[in-house]
Amino acid sequence: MKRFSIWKLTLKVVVIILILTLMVGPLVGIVLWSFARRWYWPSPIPQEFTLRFWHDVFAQGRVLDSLILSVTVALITVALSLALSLPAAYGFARYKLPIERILLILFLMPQAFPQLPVFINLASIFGRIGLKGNMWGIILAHTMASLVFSLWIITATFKAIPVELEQAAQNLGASRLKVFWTITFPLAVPGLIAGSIFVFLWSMGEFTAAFFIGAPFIQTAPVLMYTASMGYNMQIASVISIILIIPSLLFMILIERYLKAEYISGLGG
Amino acid sequence: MEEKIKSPMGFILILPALSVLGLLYVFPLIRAIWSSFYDRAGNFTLGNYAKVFELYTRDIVYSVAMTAATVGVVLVISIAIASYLRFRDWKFLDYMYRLPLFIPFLIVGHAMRIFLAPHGTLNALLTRIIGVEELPGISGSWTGLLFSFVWVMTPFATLIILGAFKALEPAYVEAAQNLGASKLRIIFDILIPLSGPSIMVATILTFVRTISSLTIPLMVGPNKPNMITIDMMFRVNYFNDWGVANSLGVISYLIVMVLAIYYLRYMVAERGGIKG
Amino acid sequence: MAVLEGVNLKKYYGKVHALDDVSFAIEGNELLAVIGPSGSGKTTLLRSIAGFVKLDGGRIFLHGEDITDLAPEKRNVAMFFQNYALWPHMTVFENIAYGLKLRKIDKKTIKEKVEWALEFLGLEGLADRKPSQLSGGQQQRVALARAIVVEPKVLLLDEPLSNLDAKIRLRIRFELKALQQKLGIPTLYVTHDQEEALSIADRVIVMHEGKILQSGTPEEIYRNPRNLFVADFVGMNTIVKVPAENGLVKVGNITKRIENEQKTASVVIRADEVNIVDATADVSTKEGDLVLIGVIKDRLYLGSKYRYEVEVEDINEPLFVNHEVDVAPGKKVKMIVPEGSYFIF
Repeated sequence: MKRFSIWKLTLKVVVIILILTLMVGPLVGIVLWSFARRWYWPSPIPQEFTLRFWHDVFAQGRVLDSLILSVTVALITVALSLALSLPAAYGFARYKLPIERILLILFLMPQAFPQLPVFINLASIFGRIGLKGNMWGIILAHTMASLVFSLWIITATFKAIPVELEQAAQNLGASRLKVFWTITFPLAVPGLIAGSIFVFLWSMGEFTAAFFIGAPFIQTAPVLMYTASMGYNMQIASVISIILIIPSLLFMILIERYLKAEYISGLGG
Repeated sequence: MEEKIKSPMGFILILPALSVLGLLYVFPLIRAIWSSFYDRAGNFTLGNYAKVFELYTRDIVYSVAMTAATVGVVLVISIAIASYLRFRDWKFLDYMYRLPLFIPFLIVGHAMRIFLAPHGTLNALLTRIIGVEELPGISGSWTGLLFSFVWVMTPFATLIILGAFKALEPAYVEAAQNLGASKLRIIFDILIPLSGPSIMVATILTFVRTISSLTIPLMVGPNKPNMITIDMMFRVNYFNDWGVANSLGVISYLIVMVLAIYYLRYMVAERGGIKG
Repeated sequence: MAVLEGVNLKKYYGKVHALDDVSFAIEGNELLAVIGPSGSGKTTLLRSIAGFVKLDGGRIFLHGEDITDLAPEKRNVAMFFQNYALWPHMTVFENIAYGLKLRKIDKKTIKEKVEWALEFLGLEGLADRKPSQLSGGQQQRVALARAIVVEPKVLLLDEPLSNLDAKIRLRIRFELKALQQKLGIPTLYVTHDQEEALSIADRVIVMHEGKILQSGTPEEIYRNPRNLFVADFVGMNTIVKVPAENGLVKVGNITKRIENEQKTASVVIRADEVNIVDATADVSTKEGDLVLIGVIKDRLYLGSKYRYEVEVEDINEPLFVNHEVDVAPGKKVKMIVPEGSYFIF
């Protein structure tokens, strides 16, 4: 077992290269494109590099506006989503509920069925009440869609806090509300932060709802990226992609212990 | 046995979230089903469905086949990765498989367009290695779409399955080892059968996420045949034809129905996966 | 040649020495028990023999063959797991047959062997049940059947009785002992329950902090403990500290020389083996018996006997002893501890 084997080492190197090619390779292309002034086949890297597109993204009105819009939408979505799911999660975690089965099914359904028809019809409904092409329309759609997974992340967080800790405080004379704010909430903060970051990232990268509800009047960063990529403006599309990827990768590395796979199924789109 | 508080307060706490879900999810959902049975003039009709089958039968079959293929490949790869990581701690693989986890699908689509194009980064690399120029690109074909789907779906399925493998009582594995079972035997005799529900959940969620993905087939994949999500988008954007779009939507619901019901029953039995 | 032999086994977890130069051997088809408190290294020892723990040093030999680097699945030492580890998705039959199937035995022979095992352990008629449909005692026997049916060279038992009710446990002890003798499989038995080990083992090893403190027959361990830890770990004891001077310890009528330069010595007394009589009573004592005079401070009723707290002359700590005779608190008594029922270290 411990003997040095040249074959084993070779195999390991080959496997590592293969994994890197398959997993990191697709991302390398974006990075190269974001710095490419000229890139003609079959050169593996661009012939000329430039920082122009990075500069453009932050200087040009349209791209910068879309980024600001995306951040604004995402922040308000996090606030709304948290405000709704915090009490609901506590309800699910601690209370015996009437029609519990139906409630659970309702809040799990968005994961079990395709979302697209809902977004399309939401766009149509919003069109009639003036929320189409409106930032608030996108925010509402994002709040609804993110509500489901933030709810389950936070419910799991509350469930992980032993009831006895609350009962001990109650036993000493604290009211239910006092117990929540002095015991439960502080203990749940890590889970709440994880849930919030998750909702933020999801909203930042969401395309479908933003496209049907916002476009063509207002464009979030992903929608603009789509337009750029479709118009073969690879550099701008790549720069926006990188801006959206970096926080996602950081989160992936930092967050693992807070997330159960089932709760993040709403991701992507 | 956990004690739960019996009080109408619980329902009141859930009410705001429930209202939002009702207005912004359930209402559009019902409207989708409803309007799939009405024509533009507002008359009841089955014409939308007739049109769907006339125009999109091939696309429906293609969508289901593509989704099934994705699920199949994803399951094989994710069970392999999960098994490996269950027995051996390899940090490199652990991070690599999870890399795509939080990357928005749209950006994955963009990345794959660059990576898999005829003159894309993959071919640039392959050309260097094997010396053949002008390799075909797969970014506009079903293989490219399959590759992209597998790339984004695998980490998620692996996460679920690895979680189940790791949660298994280690003694189950050790007992089999002790009686002479190889690692491969243990994977098939112990790990997989005892993780049935989790593998089922991974299967279902991968299936639903794949068949309802709009952005990946939008960026990668052939123009003909199309995934039905693309058809829905075109119906709305180019023809303003909500009836047919919604019929397609209802059909996508019907396709996942059996799996979705299994999933909901399982999750409700587990109290939303939030036991204890 | 020993059946199973461990030579200078070492295992470190950071600074903790789970196994600190441990050597042992199982001879013939004896039942060797390893006892010690939790964290003593006994489970690590068992798991290293099964191959689940990779050793940092030392070799393990099975019938003279070095198995130290063999994978767990290649060792043919059957292990019984504390929580039974019966696979919930397989029936009783499938659980027991699993090891045989891996050995590529034909179906008919497998069936015969499983049926023999079922009968041997009194599990007839349960073959098609799932483990969850069995009682704890039945599960325990299925786990045992699964381990013995492959005819292992050595049987490793990890706390086999700890998950059973206290009352059943006593009965099963005898069954287990009889079973092991009938089968004639050399057995290593790990338990934290010293009484259990003393009652069924041929030989006992006492472990503490990764070291073997003493090994020997149950009688040797009980009657002739080599140090304070072993003396205290086996049996029901009361311990008091007494001063030592120039290597001499004086307790009651006994003066003993100890080797260490310590300032205090410990007296371990088997609490159940003390005779309590009236202080004035004239009882004949043998040479070497320890005689202590004291006053009963308090008394607890234990059913078959009483537990007394006694204040002994010249000793600062109370002594707790058991005796079946009822003596009122406040009474002055004489306590006679026979030689071999007390130890001074």
